[in-house]
Amino acid sequence: MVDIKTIEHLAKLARLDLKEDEKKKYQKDISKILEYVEKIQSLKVDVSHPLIFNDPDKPEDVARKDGVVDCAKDAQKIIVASFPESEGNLNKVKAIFE
Amino acid sequence: MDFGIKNLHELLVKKEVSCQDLIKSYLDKIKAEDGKIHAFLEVFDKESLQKAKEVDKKIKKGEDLGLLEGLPIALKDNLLYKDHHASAASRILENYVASYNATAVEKLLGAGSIIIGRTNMDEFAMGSSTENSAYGPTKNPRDLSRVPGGSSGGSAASVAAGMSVGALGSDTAGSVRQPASFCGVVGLKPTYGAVSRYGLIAMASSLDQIGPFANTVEDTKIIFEAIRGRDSKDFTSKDVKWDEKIPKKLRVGLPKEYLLEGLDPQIKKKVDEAIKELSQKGAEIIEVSLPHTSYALAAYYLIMPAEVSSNLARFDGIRYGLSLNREAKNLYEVYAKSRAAGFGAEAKRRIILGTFALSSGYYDAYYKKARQVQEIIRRDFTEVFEKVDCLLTPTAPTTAFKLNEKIDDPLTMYLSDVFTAPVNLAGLPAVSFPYGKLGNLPVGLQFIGQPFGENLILNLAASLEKKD
Repeated sequence: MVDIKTIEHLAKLARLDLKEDEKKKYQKDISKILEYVEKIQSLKVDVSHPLIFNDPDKPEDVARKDGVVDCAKDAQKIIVASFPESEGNLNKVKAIFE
Repeated sequence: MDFGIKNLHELLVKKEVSCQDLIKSYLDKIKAEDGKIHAFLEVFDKESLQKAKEVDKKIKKGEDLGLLEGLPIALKDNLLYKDHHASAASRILENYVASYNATAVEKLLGAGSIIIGRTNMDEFAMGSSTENSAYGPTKNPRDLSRVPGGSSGGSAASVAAGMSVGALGSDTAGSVRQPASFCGVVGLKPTYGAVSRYGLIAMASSLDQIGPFANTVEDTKIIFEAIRGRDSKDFTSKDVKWDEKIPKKLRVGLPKEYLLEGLDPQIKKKVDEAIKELSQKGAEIIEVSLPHTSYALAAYYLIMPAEVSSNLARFDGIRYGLSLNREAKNLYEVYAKSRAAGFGAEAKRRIILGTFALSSGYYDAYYKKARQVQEIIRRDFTEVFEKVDCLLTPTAPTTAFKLNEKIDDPLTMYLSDVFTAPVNLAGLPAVSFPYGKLGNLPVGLQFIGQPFGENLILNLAASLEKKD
């Protein structure tokens, strides 16, 4: 059973405010789900490398060229309009350091 | 009246119906039915009629018309369509307007399709019933007291109710296939990498694929061919040479773990009927084993939430979406209050679960282990495909369940994905096609193919699909 302190810690990591009744609900839910997913512990695995979908024998560099591509004016308008608070074209946010 | 793509195309080309009349008839259908069904979150009626006008001009001039040109397609609410709202059925994106087109959408537009509206879904694609939408559930057109499945329930319902010719959804553990099964339509999950994910609001980036819905396999294939292909904006997408060959001696595998006791005997009967039909058509049916099947869902419910916790971090009240920046005292509160107000319960649950799986002290035992288990599951499939060309399974363990039946216990809901989730873990293609009914309720069966083996499984599905 996951304890409330863990749920509070996870909520902090996830930047998610939780009410008291939510903490209790998620504690119950997460504990139940973990009980179910725990079954993977019983499986012995001999896998050393992470999952690779493409052919590991024919690696292909698919990274694009590192260059600046300008934003289309009409797209820029939509993006700026969605800022919660703006000054001109700039997104106004709270300071990181107080 | 045949509402299939090829027939509608013929009618337009032969000028037996105008595009405006065609689109108007679909809009009328939506007006008549969608009050009860709630497949659509928004209908783009004015602009659809405007686009239809332009298609009619083309027809009048005698210009060539593409197969999909002028036909109405619906988009799941997690697909970005420039200048239109996309909310992933969440409050946190209620007023969000897309500044670019998803590549799949761009391709459909390039093919001349008319995007008729955006459809309802489980919030951020989390769910198997469309009951997790922040905007109310969608009902199954076959039985309004039941769910259409999820998370692409709105898209499946729109096609099943004749409100669009086709629709796009997304599938991370069955979210195209299961609603297709519940609604009695065809739903394809392409091979991972076959369709670009650029512009799909990400859930689990290593598992997500955009997939088409249509009433027939033929139509599903037409839409798939329009949206597939390598995209420089999604480096996990690929171009391949699409093999049309059907093996002369076709071997269809039946994974025994999918047909164990516990499976509804009436659904098992449908599988047996399909086996009989396939045998009569000359296929060899081979019982096979995917021995680690019972670990697949567990691995999925660690890998997916982990990726979700990462992908949903961007919804933080800073650049777009719901923001409580005025109520917040400091930056942390902007994040924490915005996310608390904007996300629904299932989204919060999975974010917390995923954060747990990735957190220090638990990462090795949970996330890393789940990834290793995923590789074991993938190997099960690779080994099986040395003995058979494709696999046949039920799509879902049940037919459409009643609204509110499974909503209280998340785990019960998760088990709906038992036949579909392993396919996403292995990155394989799979199609659900309608195979009759149990009572009033459609039953779907699933073909699982080898990587980029869509043509084979679509071909087989076409030979068995029961158009009611």
